[in-house]
Amino acid sequence: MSEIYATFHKISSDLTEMEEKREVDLKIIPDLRALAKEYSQIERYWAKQDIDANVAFPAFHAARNSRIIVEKIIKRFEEHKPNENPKIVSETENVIPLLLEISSRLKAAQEILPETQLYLSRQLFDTTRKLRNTANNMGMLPSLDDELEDVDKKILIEEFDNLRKRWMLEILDM
Amino acid sequence: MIIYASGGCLKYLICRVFIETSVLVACSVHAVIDQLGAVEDEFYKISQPLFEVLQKFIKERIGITTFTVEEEARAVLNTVVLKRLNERLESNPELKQKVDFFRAYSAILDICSDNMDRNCSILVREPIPIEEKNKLVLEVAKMYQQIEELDLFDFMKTKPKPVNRRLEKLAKQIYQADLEKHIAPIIEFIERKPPGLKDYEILAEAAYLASLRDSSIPFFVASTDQHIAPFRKDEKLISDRIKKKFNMICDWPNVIAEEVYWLLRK
Repeated sequence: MSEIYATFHKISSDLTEMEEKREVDLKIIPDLRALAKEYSQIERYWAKQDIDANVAFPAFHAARNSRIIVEKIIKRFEEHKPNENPKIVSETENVIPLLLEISSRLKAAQEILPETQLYLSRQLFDTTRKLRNTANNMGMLPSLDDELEDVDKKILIEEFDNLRKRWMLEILDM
Repeated sequence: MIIYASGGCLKYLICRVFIETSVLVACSVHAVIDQLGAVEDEFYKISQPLFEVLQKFIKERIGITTFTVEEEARAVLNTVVLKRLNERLESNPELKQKVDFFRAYSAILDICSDNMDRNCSILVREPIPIEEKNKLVLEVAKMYQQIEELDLFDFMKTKPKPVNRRLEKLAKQIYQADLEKHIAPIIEFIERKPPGLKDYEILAEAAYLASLRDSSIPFFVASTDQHIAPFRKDEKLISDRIKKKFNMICDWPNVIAEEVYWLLRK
């Protein structure tokens, strides 16, 4: 987990440098890949451990969203053409603080284990939503097909069907 | 008459539609996924036409909601996902399954939360003063209490007297059967599932917003919750009481969609 802050520091320095030079430098990509890998490990950690799902799932959800958004950022940098407007730099800068916030909340949730605090789950859900909204505004949200790439479609459909019924039962108090 | 600014022009309000939590949730829990097709249900089909009208006439700023509704809707999405996931994990404790379930639930939550954000973006979020709301919460609670305490015999006393006295017994039997068929299930429903504090709060917020407009402007409350909308779609005991007390028309979203559409086409 401590490595993630070093990665953030490198990414932040890369972005500042690009901002000053007003040009995109693809040397940021390995750092972004390292960040995506960190999130992937965090996902596995929360899914593997025998932790209360009320905390493990929001943590997994936050890490998964962070990873897919970082992957989208990588894709955008890879597709960037040399003569194109370097607005991708400022767009990435808008997303980074929320990725950092999620990392801090994930660290806090991990540190108090085996104790679990439900307020942390709520904060993780809220920050994940903020991250997705910001990423969407910055064109950093992957397409639905990309998001569902690693999802088992059979489970997805079955559970979606179940959840729809449960959501309506809950809200209608039936 | 309420006048609002729209694109630098002043316009007159034609009507207002308060979107209640059940409609916001119903309209958000669906997906169209390539290769899998559409995942939607009856409540979505009932709610979607209203959002289509609100989107079409977005400049009229007809659709309104409050922070309480949005928060409750989001909390429902998260809470139900966690409840269902816990149940699933209890019955499928294997590791592989757990990761697959986490991924699927995360994707579903993202899809539905994104839908909800899009739906909220076509609504005006109105601020509510807490003192006014608290006063109205008490009035709403009192109204439901009165419904719960309704006595079918009181209804009988208000029945119209038949002109022919010989038919009185028969008329009484028919009237009583009718009451038992239509009114008794509503009272039983309210007794079995009394509205909660959140329901009171949301109706109180709608009532506050309804009180702000000129009474000639129709104020609709769109709901699929039978504590608010007509019971079993056409029994209007509760919605009539709400209309009488707070001057709001509570109905199912598809019914309101049609009414709003015609009001705007005039």
